[in-house]
Amino acid sequence: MSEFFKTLLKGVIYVLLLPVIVAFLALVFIYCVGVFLYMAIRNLIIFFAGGNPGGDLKEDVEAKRRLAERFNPVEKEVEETIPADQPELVRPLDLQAESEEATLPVQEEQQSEEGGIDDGDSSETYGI
Amino acid sequence: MMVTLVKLTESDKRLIIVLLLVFILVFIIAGYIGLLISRIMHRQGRKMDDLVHDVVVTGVITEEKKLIKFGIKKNHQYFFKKSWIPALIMAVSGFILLIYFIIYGFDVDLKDHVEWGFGTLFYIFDWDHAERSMFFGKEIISNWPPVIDTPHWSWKAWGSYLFIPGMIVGGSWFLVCVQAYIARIYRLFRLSKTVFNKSLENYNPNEGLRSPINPE
Repeated sequence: MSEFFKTLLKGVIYVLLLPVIVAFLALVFIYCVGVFLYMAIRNLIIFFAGGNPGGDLKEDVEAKRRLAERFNPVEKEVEETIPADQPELVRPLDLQAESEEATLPVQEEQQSEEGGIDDGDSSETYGI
Repeated sequence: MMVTLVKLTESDKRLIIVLLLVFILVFIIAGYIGLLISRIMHRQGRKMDDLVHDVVVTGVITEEKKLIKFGIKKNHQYFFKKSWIPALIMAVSGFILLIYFIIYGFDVDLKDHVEWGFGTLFYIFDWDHAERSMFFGKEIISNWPPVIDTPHWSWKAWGSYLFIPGMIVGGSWFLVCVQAYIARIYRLFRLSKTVFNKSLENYNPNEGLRSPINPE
């Protein structure tokens, strides 16, 4: 019921203010005709000057550039400079590979020693 | 006035009740039409959010006045994009009327109902000689007036047949574009007041201390 009376009251206000609303709308209509004519002349000048009349404003261009940077960041190249007096840096993987290569021949030697003449050192190790 | 009220008949009372109901119905319909227009304008105003979203979110514009200035420029661009078709329709209608006036003369009556005007397509009533009756001391029309002319086609009225519908269609469409322009401007001014507003309304510096501490 309250909604009914609210709508009724709004209707009364709209009917009473109708001349003011129509006058305001007429003024804005005339203003918009002026805006339309201004934009038409402006766009014609831009078109014949070789530009894009419906193009983005400079703020739009800047916003698009910032959005593109946010989603597609450019990877910065880091210049590595190694001083001449310092030894070349070796990566951990290289060290591991070098250690594997170093231990393999020693293990093969140990296996060959077990089957052959017994040295003093090896007997102490195996308690024979 | 008091003597008139004392002499109210049963039919007068019924007439007053009917008139009251008609007035209430008119106000209710006006209220719902106003509600419909305000909802349409609210939806039209949302386009302004779309137009200024990127520049606000990326921080290109951080001030209220700059946002209003930018929003008005975008609004003008969008208004032109949407209103050039109805403007073209009105311009073409006006051009057709100009040619019509050049051919037949500038004194042709566009409202004429006999041969030259748009009135040839409607029923024309003789309101001056309509039946009237007294109602509380005022004379009002109490029956349908006599018909002067019926709808008929007239080839000589081609200028009116093209100009008036063109202006009605183009003018109504342009009016809707103007309404949308007003809605977007209103939304822009509301946005400019709230988007950059730094409010400490719901800020509580002690919220961070309320998290439970787990003993190790």
